[in-house]
Amino acid sequence: MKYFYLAIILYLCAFQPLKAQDQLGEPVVSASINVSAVVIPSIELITVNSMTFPNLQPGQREIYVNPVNSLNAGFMIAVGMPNTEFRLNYLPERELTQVDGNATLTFTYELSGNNEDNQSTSELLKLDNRNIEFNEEGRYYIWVGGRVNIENAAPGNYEGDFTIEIDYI
Amino acid sequence: MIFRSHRTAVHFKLFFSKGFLRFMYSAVILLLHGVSMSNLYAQEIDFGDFSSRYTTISPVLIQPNLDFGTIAQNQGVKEIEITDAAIIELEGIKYLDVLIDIELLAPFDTDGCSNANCTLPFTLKGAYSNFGEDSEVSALNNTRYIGETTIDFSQQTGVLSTQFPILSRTSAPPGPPPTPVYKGYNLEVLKESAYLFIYGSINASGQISGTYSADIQVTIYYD
Repeated sequence: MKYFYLAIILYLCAFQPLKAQDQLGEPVVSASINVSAVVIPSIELITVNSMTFPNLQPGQREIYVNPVNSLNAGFMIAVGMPNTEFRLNYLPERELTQVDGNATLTFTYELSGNNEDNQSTSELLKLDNRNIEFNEEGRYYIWVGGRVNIENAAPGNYEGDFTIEIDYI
Repeated sequence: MIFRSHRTAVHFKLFFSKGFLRFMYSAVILLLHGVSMSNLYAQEIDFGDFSSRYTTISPVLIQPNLDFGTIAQNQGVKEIEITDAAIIELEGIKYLDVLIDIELLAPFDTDGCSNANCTLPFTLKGAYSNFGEDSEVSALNNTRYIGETTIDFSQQTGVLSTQFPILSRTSAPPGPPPTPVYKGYNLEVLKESAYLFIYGSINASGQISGTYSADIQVTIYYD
């Protein structure tokens, strides 16, 4: 019987972790890293009015829509983070294709912009603008004009698109 | 001589008694069973157990911030590479291993908000360099990747853990036990610096606009 008790004691001992070394308490240190980010609204580009062309006069060689003062200019509003700078660029020359034919016309776009809704005080925008800022309401106003030579154009309807890119800096 | 012979005979009898054999059989079986279920701590020599006699680890925050700057609501993934990581320099005893936990304790969200629309999924990444480099700049040329974990609204916390010696032993086996502290002991010659790099990425997919922040806690201790 005593051997049985001895065996039980040995068994219980076997379940104990065999810590041969003294735990002196290792020094623990910690540091803190701050992670941060600012989420800003995505930029939206709203087309309010498309560009229209005035009636052509006999013998007219060119159509020009002045983005600063023409009522035919297209009107767009960019919406984004208030008081935040953004970059704007566009392709100035786009090809217009005859709807019922193969003729083409090259349209050269001109843009003007303003941080208030006032076309007459807007300023012409270069091809790559980097110092533009959304106003306090997160808006920026854009007028679209341009010119096209119709001297040798075939009669008909023409259509094409216009690409403008806006990104936060 | 006769007396000695008698004693030998007694021992012989005791050794092979039935009760003793039963005991040995039971003991061996139980010991084998018990040993298989227990951890043998005695087989690992942790010199770090005595590290408090030498020194504490000195972490220096070389770059304490991980700033992602601005990100548009639907921009997608924005990453901070290791070259722009938050950096901690760890000065310690070069032959001792350190255990490191890099833990994001709470989701990466805006103040006072606790739902998925105001929580940015954050992928936490870590790396270290322990090749005795002079600066964090040169350490960047020789790093070891720890791993990564993503914390979002459903995965509220995340931790990266690793263990490495302050100075890499490369492919060599661990060195001899450290020299005990004695009078005139020069601790400085045993110090070396390792570097810890913390970086990662966030993923914006329509979260509300605002300032997001979180804290990463880095815990360091000798093995």
